[in-house]
Amino acid sequence: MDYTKRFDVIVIGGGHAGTEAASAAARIGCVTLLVTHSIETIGQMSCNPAIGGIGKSHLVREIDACDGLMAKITDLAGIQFRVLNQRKGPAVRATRAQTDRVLYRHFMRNAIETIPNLTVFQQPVCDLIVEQDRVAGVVLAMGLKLRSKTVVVTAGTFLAGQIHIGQNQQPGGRAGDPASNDLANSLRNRSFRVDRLKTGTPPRIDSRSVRLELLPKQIGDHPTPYLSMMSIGNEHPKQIPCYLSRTTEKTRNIILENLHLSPMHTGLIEGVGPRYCPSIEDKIVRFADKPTHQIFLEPEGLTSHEIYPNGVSTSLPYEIQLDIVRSMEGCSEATITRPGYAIEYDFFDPRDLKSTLESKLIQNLYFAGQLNGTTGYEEAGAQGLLAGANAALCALERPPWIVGRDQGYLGVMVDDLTTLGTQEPYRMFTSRAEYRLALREDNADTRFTEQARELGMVSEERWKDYNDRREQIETEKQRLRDTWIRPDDQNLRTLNAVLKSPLIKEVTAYDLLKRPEIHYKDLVDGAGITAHENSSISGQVEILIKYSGYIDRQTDEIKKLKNKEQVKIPAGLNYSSISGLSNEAKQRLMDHQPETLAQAARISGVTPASISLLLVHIKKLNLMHLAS
Amino acid sequence: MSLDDTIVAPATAPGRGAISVIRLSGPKSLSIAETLSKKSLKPKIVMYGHILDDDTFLDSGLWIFFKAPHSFTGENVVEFHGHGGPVVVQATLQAMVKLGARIAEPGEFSRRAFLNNKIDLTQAEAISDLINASSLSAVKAANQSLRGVFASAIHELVQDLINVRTQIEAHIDFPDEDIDPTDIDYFGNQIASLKSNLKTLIQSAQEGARLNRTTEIVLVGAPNTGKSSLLNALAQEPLAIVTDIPGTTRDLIRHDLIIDGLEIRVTDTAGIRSTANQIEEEGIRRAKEAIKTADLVLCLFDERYYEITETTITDLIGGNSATRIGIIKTKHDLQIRATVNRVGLPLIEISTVTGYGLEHLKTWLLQELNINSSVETTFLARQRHVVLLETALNFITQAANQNIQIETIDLIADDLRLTQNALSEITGTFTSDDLLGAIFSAFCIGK
Repeated sequence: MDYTKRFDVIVIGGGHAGTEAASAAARIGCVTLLVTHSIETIGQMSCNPAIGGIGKSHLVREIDACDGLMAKITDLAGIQFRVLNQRKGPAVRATRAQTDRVLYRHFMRNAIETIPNLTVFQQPVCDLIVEQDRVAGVVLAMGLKLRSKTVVVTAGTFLAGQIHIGQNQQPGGRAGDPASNDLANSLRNRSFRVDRLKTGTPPRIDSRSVRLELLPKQIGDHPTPYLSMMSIGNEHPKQIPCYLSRTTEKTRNIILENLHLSPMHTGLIEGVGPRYCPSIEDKIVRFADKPTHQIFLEPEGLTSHEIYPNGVSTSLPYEIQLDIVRSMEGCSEATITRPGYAIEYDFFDPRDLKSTLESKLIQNLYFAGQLNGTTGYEEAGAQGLLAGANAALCALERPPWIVGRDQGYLGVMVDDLTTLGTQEPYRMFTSRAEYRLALREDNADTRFTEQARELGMVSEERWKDYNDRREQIETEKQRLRDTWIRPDDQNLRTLNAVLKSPLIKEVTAYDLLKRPEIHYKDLVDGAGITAHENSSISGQVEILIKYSGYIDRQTDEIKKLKNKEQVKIPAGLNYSSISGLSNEAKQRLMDHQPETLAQAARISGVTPASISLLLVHIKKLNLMHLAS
Repeated sequence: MSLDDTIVAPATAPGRGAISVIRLSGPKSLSIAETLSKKSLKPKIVMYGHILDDDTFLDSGLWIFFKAPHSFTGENVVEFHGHGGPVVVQATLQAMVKLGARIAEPGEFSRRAFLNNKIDLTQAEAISDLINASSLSAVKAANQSLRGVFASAIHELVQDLINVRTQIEAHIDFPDEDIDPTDIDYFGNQIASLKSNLKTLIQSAQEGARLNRTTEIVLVGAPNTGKSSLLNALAQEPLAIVTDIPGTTRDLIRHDLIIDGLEIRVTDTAGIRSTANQIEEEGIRRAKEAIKTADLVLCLFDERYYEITETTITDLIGGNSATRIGIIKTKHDLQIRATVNRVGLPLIEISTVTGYGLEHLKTWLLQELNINSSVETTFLARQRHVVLLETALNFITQAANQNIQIETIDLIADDLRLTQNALSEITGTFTSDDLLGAIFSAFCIGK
């Protein structure tokens, strides 16, 4: 690393946000440096060994559509792939992969080390160089100063962590990592709003001590799905199953007898953990009538003997944890390799960020990942992509990249975070996306690739592949429009058996496909239409035709949203000077500092009348500005 | 709030004036007017014409088209000067809404005028004040519309909707959790029942909209102070049973009066006193409810038994200081003491036996209520509710028409989301985070 060089972008941290940020900035063409306290932990999966899942795989596909890393690496390191919600509609289908930690880290480091324009350097960062509210580089622990046009901070795993096991507590981050760092302290001194979150993890189990042969096996889908559009089918390593264990009556009794030792229940940890990831203590207490809870036993990798028992997060004392694990089906002889724990940690209030993930307080400084209050590799990676790209665009003095709620889950997440903040570790769910029907796993490319290409993030190879695919889809749609099916056609009987009302006049295959009961395969089986050679193309065409009415409906909704998004609220607007605004609305608006009228309207406590007043006030300011 | 649709509202105060003006503004205003009048309108030319809703004659009057930007709002504006009278106005508005207009938000015409540079900067504060004042009156009107059976029916409906959505969304977002597999037919039945409940609700809301166009006065006072007698005197016919037994009026008695063209609904309440009688207690509860939404509360005192002080007034009306209050000293013919007004509120002395003070009271009422004849009436509020309910019905019907099966669950979920969006404008926002909260409290999630 040439320390005399002036970098365009410096990314602090080599986790899931940091790797995507650094690779996005480098792809755009910026001279980029990734600084991490440990090169060995680049791409480390520090919690559960899985990527994807409902809502999350949508983010992974969006990263992939911009030629990011996560999907490609998961395809190389995934050891069990399933499509969740396979039988439900395409908008809610989601791919999930159990992932080998060692392979993931290996392939991610490999990818990072081979990206042009990107340098990696191992050294803790202890401070930022800030000149007149603008970041100008970083200060390394060994005292060296590195200058850059922009900085992306992603070093946020469990800042100022406090670990609880039973009644014991000790400072600490992810097992083995230092609890806090100088950088976080220096940020804390710069008037960023800091708040605290809590979460927990399950104990890990030695797979050799579990009677797996007694438990139901869950194998992956066949053929194995892929996360990256660019994967061709030979990427996956060996595939292995997960197993399903369950808690028993005994588990329940152990927990109820020892509740007084749980820091969550005795009040040592205040408040509640994430609603979607309660501890086993919580589940037993809140859903007392449920006799048993399922626990997924997930392999940590092909070469590891550790099992991640998904569903049994706990902060009870170690002795009790062992009793709990041994009370589960198939686990009577189990040994624990690492205890479970609850952890409290700091995050920076994401409402202090713009929708580019740039800080509202310090220019050219970007935040991504867990330090923004999110949880999950996918959430971190997607933020990394956006922050890295915007840091690069800013360094090149190009216009910023803003992703709307109507464009992707990435937009939903960033808007939720920057507009509303969060009270629990923020995790993606499809129900957070109001335009869910339009934001599908299968069409991430049409939502992102063209834009990402313009930004310079997309390789020639992917761009060609994307255009080929678009063309094939259009050709196939046109073919179906040109194919007429007549009631007197031969072999229509099979088709009529599927149709709710038989055909009475001739109709195009395209229009027939709009009927809810008709699928592409019915056209092939029942109306003699030749199937497209690529099932992924015909699948996409079927979804596009079937969904077209709904997409039109959402387009109308989106248009209304755009109107409000176009009204920008000037930074630092003095809400207290707006007459007629209720005190509650003033307070909320001051806390949230929305960037647009659309964001203001999503803040609870801000009524439509407040929005009207705000609109009038902004117009007034513009007029005064013109006059002066 | 939207910026590019077409809005409609009466531009004249409610009541039974000779003429009422209805104003349309926005891109569709000309086409709506031409459809209803079956004439082609030219800018700045006054045309005589009818309003024909699907060939049903509603009214006749003058049409004026102001072409953008030469109009009050800067948009295409059409005014219809028709006959006064709430029923005609209501029918006309409904016909316009059917053709794509939306009932304007309070202050919206002025706001559009300002945003389109038709009103200068110096007037901007006034616009803010107007929006603020009229949104307060809108909140009050909405509360008036949203009371009683209508409110509880809507809340029940929304709760049922949330329950179905919670189940469907839990199945979508948490397929790996061991949530009991719900029978897909169950969703179908729930949606069908939501649809039919919504239909019933719209019917009753429309009836309610017809009734709820008047200004409301509530009579309160201790038992046997003469509330019912005053009501009878104002109505000029016996409506309430008048006896000298305290506690005679247990239910609310309402009567619609027209005083000089202004429609007024007077509500007679049970006398407020602590009572052991359950039915009377319910009457008192209803009285307190009516006070909350009234335009004006008349506090009646028989000064032989009750002193008129701030405390005795608060005892009658509770803490509802927002409502405007008038004091009526009754039974003038029986009083021995001279009246001293120590409470700083308007005070009028009357006798329903001799007729003393009744004319004065009527004049005063008209003055008070005419000043207060805010553009935002309960009728408009209710009308807005009806439109939202119809939008909701449209979406729930789309859900009901789906092939209800697991494969279309994402489409059904979207129909239900839009149904709830429409209802949210009546009952308050229900965010995706609220929905997640409902899921987490109903199901044990946590893989």
